[in-house]
Amino acid sequence: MIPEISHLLTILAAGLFLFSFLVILSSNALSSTDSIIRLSLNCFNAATIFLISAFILYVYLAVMDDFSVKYIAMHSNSDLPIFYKISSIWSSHEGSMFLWILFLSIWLWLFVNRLDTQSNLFRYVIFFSAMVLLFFLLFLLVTSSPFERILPLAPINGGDINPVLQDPALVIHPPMLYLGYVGFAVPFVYICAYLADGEFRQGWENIIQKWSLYAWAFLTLGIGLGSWWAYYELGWGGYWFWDPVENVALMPWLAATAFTHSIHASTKSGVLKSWTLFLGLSVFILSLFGAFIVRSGIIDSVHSFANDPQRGLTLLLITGVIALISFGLFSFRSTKIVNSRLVVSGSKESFLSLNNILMITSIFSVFLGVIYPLITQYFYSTKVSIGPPYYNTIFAPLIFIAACFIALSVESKWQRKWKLTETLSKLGIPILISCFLTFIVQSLHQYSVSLIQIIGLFSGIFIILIYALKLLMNLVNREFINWSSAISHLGFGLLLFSIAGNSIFSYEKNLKLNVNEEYISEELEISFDDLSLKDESNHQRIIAQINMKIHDKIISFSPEKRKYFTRGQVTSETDIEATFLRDIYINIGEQLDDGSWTFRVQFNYLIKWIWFSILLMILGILIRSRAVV
Amino acid sequence: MKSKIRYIFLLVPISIIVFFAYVISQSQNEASQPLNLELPEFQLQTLDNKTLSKKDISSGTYLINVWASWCITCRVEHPFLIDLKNKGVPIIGLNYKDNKDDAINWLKSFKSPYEISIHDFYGTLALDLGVTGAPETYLLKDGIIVRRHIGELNIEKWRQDFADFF
Repeated sequence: MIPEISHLLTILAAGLFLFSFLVILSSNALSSTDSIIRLSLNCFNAATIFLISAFILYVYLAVMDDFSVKYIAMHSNSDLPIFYKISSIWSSHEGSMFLWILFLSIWLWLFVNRLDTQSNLFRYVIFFSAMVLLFFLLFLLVTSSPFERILPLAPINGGDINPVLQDPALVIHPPMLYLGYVGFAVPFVYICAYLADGEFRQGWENIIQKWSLYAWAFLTLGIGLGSWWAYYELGWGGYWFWDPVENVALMPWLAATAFTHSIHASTKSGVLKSWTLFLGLSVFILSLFGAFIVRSGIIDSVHSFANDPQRGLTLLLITGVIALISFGLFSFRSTKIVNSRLVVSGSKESFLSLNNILMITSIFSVFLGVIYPLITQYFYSTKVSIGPPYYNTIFAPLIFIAACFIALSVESKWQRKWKLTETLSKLGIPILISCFLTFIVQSLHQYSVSLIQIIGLFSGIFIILIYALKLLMNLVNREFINWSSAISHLGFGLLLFSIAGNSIFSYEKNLKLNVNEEYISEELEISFDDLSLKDESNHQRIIAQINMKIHDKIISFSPEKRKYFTRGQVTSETDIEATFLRDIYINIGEQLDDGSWTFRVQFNYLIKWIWFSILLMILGILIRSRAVV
Repeated sequence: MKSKIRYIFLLVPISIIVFFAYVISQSQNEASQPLNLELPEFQLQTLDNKTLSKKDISSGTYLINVWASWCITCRVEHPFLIDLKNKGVPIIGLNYKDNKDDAINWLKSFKSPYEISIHDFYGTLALDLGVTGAPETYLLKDGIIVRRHIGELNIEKWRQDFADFF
């Protein structure tokens, strides 16, 4: 009965969104009175409450192990701890879509209720919000219903959550990521409303700026958590793989980053307005595009859900309609947008506009990397795969240019022309020091370092140095400093530095060892001391005991392999010894025919610094969001 | 903005949509391409302790359905297979990496849609067939595999790819 109630509430929510949408549609601008808008808002609010209740009931079903619900039976199991029962809801397509829509409705609901109902844009905001929600609820109900039941005989136990997903990161990575993706629906609907209204009043940026900053923080955190998860739990031994699904998350992130910069320029000095509007629309459209790529199954990836072309086509249709409506509004209305000022060359605004161009270029490059294999597969019948070399070659020069512009822009002022000689004289010393430091760091490494790595290293050090100097000046001379910008950009510089350092210094060894066998080289000794078996409630563990002697210190490791009974899946649990500068990472591989085991030993330098720098960037943005009214 | 440039903001999304619509329609065709593979040699016990090998099923038309008692989708698929059985379609079960007692109990409690069910505990025949998981369904015609479907078999899939053979 409860599954039907949950289902019914969702259908009612869709109906109410439809009603809310139709009420606005049928009332034209002149006759729309307060009461009509109020009616539409009430429907919208009720729909959201229905949807939230439906989701809470669904969580209850998952917690109570109602395996008559097909989705729960396929992805949960009564032996799971309670938080995995809940997180099993977003471990596959239908449930995660449900969560995605729930978050979308909550964001929009909060936004709509904070807007002034008297505002001219209000009715348009409701209209576009209800439209987007209606489309996705219909998609959920028609093509991917999580409410289907197995009747009359329900299975006794469920099919279990995929063991790879039995990790605390699953509880939090997808929700954070979704909060980020759909958070950009707020600027999206507002910009659509602004364009549809066509009056182009001033001050619209202030209303959405704070929302965009929060959404950016969630998106960044979500991507960061995903990368951390891949490293610690999935045993991939790295933090970023240019996997198609990572790429489709990176595109909205790049657009969002450009958008948060651009909106700053339009609030501060009334320039780059068209840019800001365009980017605001693009972030959400790119998020939808990402959802389409992941859920249509046209691209093979660890993240993709089951292949269902019908579903993919529907999602493409929805994304396409939303994109055409919003970009159509943009292309026909934005001709009337007038910037209050012109961009002065060498001013802060001019650098922000260059930043927009660089970001769009990187988005396009990633996009090309994602679709190029499809183009060759379907038009030339050859399969190619595009990997790290492509992206590294594209990104290194872009990042170098960005670093130079960041450095130049630090001393620039709003609306004021830039004094070339003064800026350059201030930058001379940091450039020299960065070159010197880059030289020192790369010479610590005994083998050759590629140009791309040097560019990355230099860019990172340069940005860190510029902002460190800025902080120093603030401490010594009480010079003005924009804290949020300084912290975020320090984070960005540190990110570049850690990525470059990681790629230069990290190395790995693949070993083949029998029990009681040793591997000895100049710098380290590794001995495989023991192998034990252990039975747990839902899996069997094979645990290896490894001792490593490095720099006269002995470290013991116990990497393991787990075999899960319900699905017969095998996963490996990495063991990591972490110090300030590096992680030693041991992963147990396969048992070979002669009884020996393979091990992968990695020395990952600066990898924790990557996550730390991501946190710094988020901190900077949160400081900024407090300053925004 | 110049009036012609603005059409770019429409043309770019439209071309991307058309491109992906094409890709999806192509990938749909790919999924149902006919096969022409010979059934691999095998000799395995059935769940009722008989021995079955390739030659026993190399003439005539059969469905081979990969299933297991741990497989939830197989439960979902089950009523449709019973329908097929009632229409006279001979189905051979390939019980995949399953505990024998669990499998026999499963068949007892839900009624068996299978003529016989091969017990492939180690997944050897499944490996030769290229099984990716349960459920999966193969169409065997005179010792040649001519169709393959991954996942739940339903009425649309059946009409589209399998029905013509019976």
